[in-house]
Amino acid sequence: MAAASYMSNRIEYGSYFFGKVVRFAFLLVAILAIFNHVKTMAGYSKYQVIAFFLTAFLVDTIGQALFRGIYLVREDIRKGNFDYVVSKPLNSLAYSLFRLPDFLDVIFLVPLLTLVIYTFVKLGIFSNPANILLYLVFILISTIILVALHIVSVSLTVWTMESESFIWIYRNAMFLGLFPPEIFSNPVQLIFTFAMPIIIIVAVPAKALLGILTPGMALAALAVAFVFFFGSLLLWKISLKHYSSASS
Amino acid sequence: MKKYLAVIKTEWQRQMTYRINQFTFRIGNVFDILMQIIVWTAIFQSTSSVKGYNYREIMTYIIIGWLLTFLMTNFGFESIISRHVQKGELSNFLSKPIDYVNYLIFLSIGRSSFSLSVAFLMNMMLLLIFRKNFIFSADIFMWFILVTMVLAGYFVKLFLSILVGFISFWTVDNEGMFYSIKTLERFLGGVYFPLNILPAIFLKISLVLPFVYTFYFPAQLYLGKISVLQGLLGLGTEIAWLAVLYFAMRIVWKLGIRKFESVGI
Repeated sequence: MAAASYMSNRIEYGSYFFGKVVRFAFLLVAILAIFNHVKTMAGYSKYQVIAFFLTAFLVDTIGQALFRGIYLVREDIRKGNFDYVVSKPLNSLAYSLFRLPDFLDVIFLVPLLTLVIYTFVKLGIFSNPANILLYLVFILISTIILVALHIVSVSLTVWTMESESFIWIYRNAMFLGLFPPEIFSNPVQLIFTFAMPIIIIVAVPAKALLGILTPGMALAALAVAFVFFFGSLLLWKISLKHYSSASS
Repeated sequence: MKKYLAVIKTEWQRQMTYRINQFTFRIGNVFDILMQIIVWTAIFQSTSSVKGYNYREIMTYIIIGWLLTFLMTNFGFESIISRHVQKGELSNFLSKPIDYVNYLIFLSIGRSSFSLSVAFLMNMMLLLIFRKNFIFSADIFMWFILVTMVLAGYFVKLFLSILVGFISFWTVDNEGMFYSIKTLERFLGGVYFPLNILPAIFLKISLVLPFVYTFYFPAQLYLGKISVLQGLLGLGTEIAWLAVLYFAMRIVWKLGIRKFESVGI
């Protein structure tokens, strides 16, 4: 059904895709331009910074490819259609999260992964397959945290009946993940490690790739993923109890 | 005129109802601003100048640029028009003694007056925090051009949004087009970084488009990196864009209304 929707709105989705590509290209050009004037940023070389940048885009694109459906929940609630979702014999949370996969983001993953591999080559990562394996493991952990953040967002929408504001805070905060966390002061790093875990989502996999991830940081990533995932499921249950149908 | 003032009042009340949305959108803006400040601070740890900008100049560029961009912003007009067209709500306006385009303009003023007051307060707080790194300017001619640019820029952005909204007469949705234009507006406007640090082609393209006159150009004028005369020329280009967009908006409205099927009647 989602695929049919894409085919019938080619101009609409083509425009989205164009916007995504422009945003990505401009930011990459800006980073390259900045490195014409400086040799390092917070102690990282050009390709190391690009590894952080690409990892942020990779994780964000995975999130957008999978969870586009949550942007429809508020409208469903407003019109009373969410009553049908909760009363059907299906998992209403899974339906709300995965009802509209974004195929354009899947397409966008192709050039993105090409650039990731190019950066691997430039950094000489292929001589260290353990780092690549760790990178993939922590990308998976980041995806679990992403699932949790989207569950929090959809829970708050169901609870407050306001728009998916929380996910916009996360998406704006992802801008902070485009660069190495060392550019932030310690209190800011703490906030974006434990409260809105952008550093865990982006910097942990990137550091694993570069071979500079500390065991403490790796454990923190596992703990944050655990707490966020199970905490978000709890919040979803509570929000359903507070759901007051707009149509009744 | 009274009916249009009522539009402003109603919109102000509506905005007060959705306070959480206002707050979270502003938090998003704060992330944008803080990120730029942090990144540039990190860059200036290993150099004292980037493409002719020192640290104070780049901080001023960010703060003044965002302040101006807040003042010129309208909020979500594309989706409002899209909803009116796609759901047939436009028929309500067509049957009333009200000009729809004028209604949109006054609605925008109502929306902006609330949102801008919140955004303005947040920017003033930023200014207070970073005052040591902010360059204050008292050049009266520069301020005159700057204020006129903000006024023109507000309507340039509004007319662009309305134009994108009118695309709904021909397509099912316009969110993608809106996203693309906003992205171009931000990057070709110099919102994330001064355009002259990029390869020269970006600035050349930007100078013939309207976006550059909503952030990069006025910020450069404020910093004294372009002269008052160049500022006047830029203002002229912006006003020319304003006229083009106004006439384009009126023409597209006339063409679109012929296409309108009034869904739901």
